Amino acid sequence: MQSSESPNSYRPIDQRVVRLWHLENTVRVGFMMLGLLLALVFLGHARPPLIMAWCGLLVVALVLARWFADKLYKSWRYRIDNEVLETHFGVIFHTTQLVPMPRMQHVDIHRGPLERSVGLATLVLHTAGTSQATILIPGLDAQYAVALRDYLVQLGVGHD
Amino acid sequence: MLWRCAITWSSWAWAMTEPKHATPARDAFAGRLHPLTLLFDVLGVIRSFLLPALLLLLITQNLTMALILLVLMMPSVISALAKYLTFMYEIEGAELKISHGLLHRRHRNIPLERVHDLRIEQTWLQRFFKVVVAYVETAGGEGPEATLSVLSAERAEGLRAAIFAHTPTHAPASGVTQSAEPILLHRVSIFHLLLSSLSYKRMTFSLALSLGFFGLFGIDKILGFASGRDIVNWSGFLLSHTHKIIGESAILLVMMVFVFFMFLFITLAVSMVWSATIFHNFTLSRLGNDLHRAYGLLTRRASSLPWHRIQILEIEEDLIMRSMGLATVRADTAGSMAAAARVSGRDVLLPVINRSKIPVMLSYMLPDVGIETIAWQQVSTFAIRRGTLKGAIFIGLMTVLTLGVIPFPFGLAPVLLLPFVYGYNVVQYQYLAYAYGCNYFHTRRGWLRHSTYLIPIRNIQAVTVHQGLFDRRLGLATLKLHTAGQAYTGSGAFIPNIPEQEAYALAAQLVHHTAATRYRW
Repeated sequence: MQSSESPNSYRPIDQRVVRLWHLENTVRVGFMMLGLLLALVFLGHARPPLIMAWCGLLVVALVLARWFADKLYKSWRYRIDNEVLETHFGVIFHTTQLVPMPRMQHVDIHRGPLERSVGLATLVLHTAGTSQATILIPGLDAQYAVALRDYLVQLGVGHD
Repeated sequence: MLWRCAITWSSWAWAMTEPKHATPARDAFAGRLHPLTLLFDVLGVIRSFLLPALLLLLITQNLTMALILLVLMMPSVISALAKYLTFMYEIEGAELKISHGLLHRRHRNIPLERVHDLRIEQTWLQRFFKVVVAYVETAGGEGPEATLSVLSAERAEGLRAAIFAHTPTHAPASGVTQSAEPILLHRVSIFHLLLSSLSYKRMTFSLALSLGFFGLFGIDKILGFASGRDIVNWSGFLLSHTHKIIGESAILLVMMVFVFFMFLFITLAVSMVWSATIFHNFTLSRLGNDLHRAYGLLTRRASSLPWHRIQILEIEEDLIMRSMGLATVRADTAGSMAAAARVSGRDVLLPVINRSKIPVMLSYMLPDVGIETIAWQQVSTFAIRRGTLKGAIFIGLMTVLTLGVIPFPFGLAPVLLLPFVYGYNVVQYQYLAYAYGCNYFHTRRGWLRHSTYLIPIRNIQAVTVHQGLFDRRLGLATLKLHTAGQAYTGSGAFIPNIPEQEAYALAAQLVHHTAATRYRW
């Protein structure tokens, strides 16, 4: 793990995560648009112009969801050195998070059903701070996430 | 005799559960709850059933219902009895061990090093019987780690001394002479307490209380001197006899002003009574590394806080307090919980103090801080532009909405707010600043209410830099420091509108600085 990491070099997350986010966003948009369609039908406004507008909105929402996932993937990067874990992400709002390694409390790996289906995992690093001081790195190869977790734990122990 | 039996039983119980060779030298501090626990627990059960019982009696006027409630109370009474009979505590080695439960036995081992505070509370009835409730506080944010209700006051003090005697972090700092008695740092006078009741937060809290009171009982019942019908008749009489002279609109205005001032007066009275009751005879003292607080008229509260466990400290001065040269000091620890703390006054380290005394007081609260030598660094002047731009967009939307309801030119009225938005942002900018010290990061902000935050760098858990659309356009960023707690100081450790490059450089510098320090719970 250590040999593959060079200090000050940012790493991207796994590209497979884009597929996952496309799927998640499509499902999310699908549910929202279905809710809107049902509201139109039950409120008696399901007239052809409104249905046409709904179809147009659906296409725009799907394109936007896809664009957002692509942009989010491109924005995501992280780096780890002996002292600090750093992440950068965001499409509209850019966020940079920095955690001093000695403040790490514990590290979790989350794998939902969709993540498992594409062989990915999310690494969650907890500190003693509020929930906003918890760092998530999504879209990591499952095996790599385990290795990274072990490396971070070793690094944390080394600082104690 | 009871204590002796309890100690013997407890020691025997622990000896049975642990291998003999692993048992360390036993401390003599062990025991059970005070026998009055039963009385207070039963009183608590009765209190919780009293209101439903009275309501049921009023509605049904049937004594059988009261008897049913009495039967329903029995499990709680039995549970209280079981708690009293089975509750045991003991300090063994470096742990406080607590066990209780009859059918489902619970054992809790709390490492003494993790105990932040043994908070003691005493209601007026408990004061009469010389017993207290002791809360064992750790960094966990889910409320007290253990509650010992009730102990004799003497026993609770003994337990506190026994816990903190085992805790190295409570030992005095080098150069600080440990005295047996705490050194009194500050006593809040009743005059200052009454003045502090004018503060914005207290008034808001009291306003909520007053409104709740009015809503619950109705305005006529509270005023007492007149029923609602009387007020309507009286208003009608006034209107019919005077509208010819000054007009109905003026009368309505006078009535509204009267109601406003009446609310203000009642809110002020509630605020004064609340401040004087909760913080009555507030004292802050120091013993070694610990800050001790004691306060309260009806319920007397006492708690201790080691200074190094302060995660973030806030000096709050709202407009009224500032005009009188007063301030409030709040401090967060890792286990801060906002909900109950506001009502019990636990969120404040000092409810009111002269602003001029704060530097001296800070040297006791945070010995490694030097507030008088802070070199404040102002944020970018683009802060004014950013704030005004956001305000202008909001006003633009408001104007469009207003024009939909009110015709031109009166519909353009929201535009008149633009100079105020600009002025507000200028005033905000003038106070907004940060300072990077050797051991602390300082931020300050506010318009009417000024807040200054002191964040020990050793307690920083993470650093975040945020940039929204406006920020990126103007090359600005918001720097946020995360610590444990932040319940009482309201997530205050952030500074917006720093030049982008400066924010990223500061974040990197702070995080490496933090990594080089050791975090102590």
